[in-house]
Amino acid sequence: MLTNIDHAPGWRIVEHKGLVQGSTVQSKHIGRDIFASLKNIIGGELKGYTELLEEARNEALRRMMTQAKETGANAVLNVRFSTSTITAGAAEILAYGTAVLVEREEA
Amino acid sequence: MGAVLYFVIPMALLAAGLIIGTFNERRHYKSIQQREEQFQALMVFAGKSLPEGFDAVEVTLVSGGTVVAEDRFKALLAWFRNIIGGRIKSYENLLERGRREAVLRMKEKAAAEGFSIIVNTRFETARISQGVEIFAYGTAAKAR
Repeated sequence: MLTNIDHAPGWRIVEHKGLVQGSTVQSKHIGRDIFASLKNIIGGELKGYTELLEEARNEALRRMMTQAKETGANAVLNVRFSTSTITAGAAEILAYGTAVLVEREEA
Repeated sequence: MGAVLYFVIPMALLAAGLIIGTFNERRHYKSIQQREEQFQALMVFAGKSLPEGFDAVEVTLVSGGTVVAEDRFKALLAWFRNIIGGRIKSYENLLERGRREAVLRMKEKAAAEGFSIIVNTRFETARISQGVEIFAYGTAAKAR
C-alpha cells in the first residue's frame, strides 16, 4: 500500500521501518528524440516521453516497494518523487518514502 | 538557395507552429473542459487530511503526468519577451494546459478504480530535453 500522506486512513501503524527509496536513470532512444524535435515545431504533448517517464516512475516505485518488502513492511507512507536531468538526454527518477508495518483498525 | 535555407524554411516552420499549434491548443482546451466537467464529482484537495466524516476503506497513491512542448512560434514570442522581460503568456498557457491535463489523468485513474476523493495533491515540474514534464500525484481514498 502506498500513500503520500503521513498515515494510512483506516489502518494503524505498528512499526516504522525507516526510509526506503527506489530510483532509475532513463534515457530515450534516438528515434524518440528525432520525433520529439519534429513535434517541437508544432508544439503539444510529447507522447513518447510521457510514456517513457511513466514507465520509469513505475519502475522506481517498484524498486522502492521491493526494498520496503525486504525490511518487512507492508506499506510505504509519505511517498515523494523527484526528477532531475542528469546529462543531456537522461533523467533520474527517484521515489522515496517511509516504510511501515500497518494493521487494520478495528471499527 | 541560401534564401530558401535561411528564410523560407524557418518562416514555414514558424507558420506551421502558429497555425497548427493554435489549433491544437484550442482543441486541447475544449477537451480539458469537457473532461473536467465529467470528473467534477471526484474531489481533489491539496490538504493532507480527509474531510471530516469520510470513512476510508482503501487508500492508494495515484498519479498523472504529461510532457508538453512549445511550438516554434511560442518559442519565438518567448525569445522576444526575454529582451524586455515580463510575463511570457504563451508559456503560461502551455504550462496551465499541461497541469490541468496531469490532474485530469490522475483523476481518470482514480475514478477508474472507484476512488471518490484525492488528498495531498502535489505537483512536480521538470525540464527534460525538448519538453516540460508536469506530474501530479496524491492519495486517493474510497469511502466505506
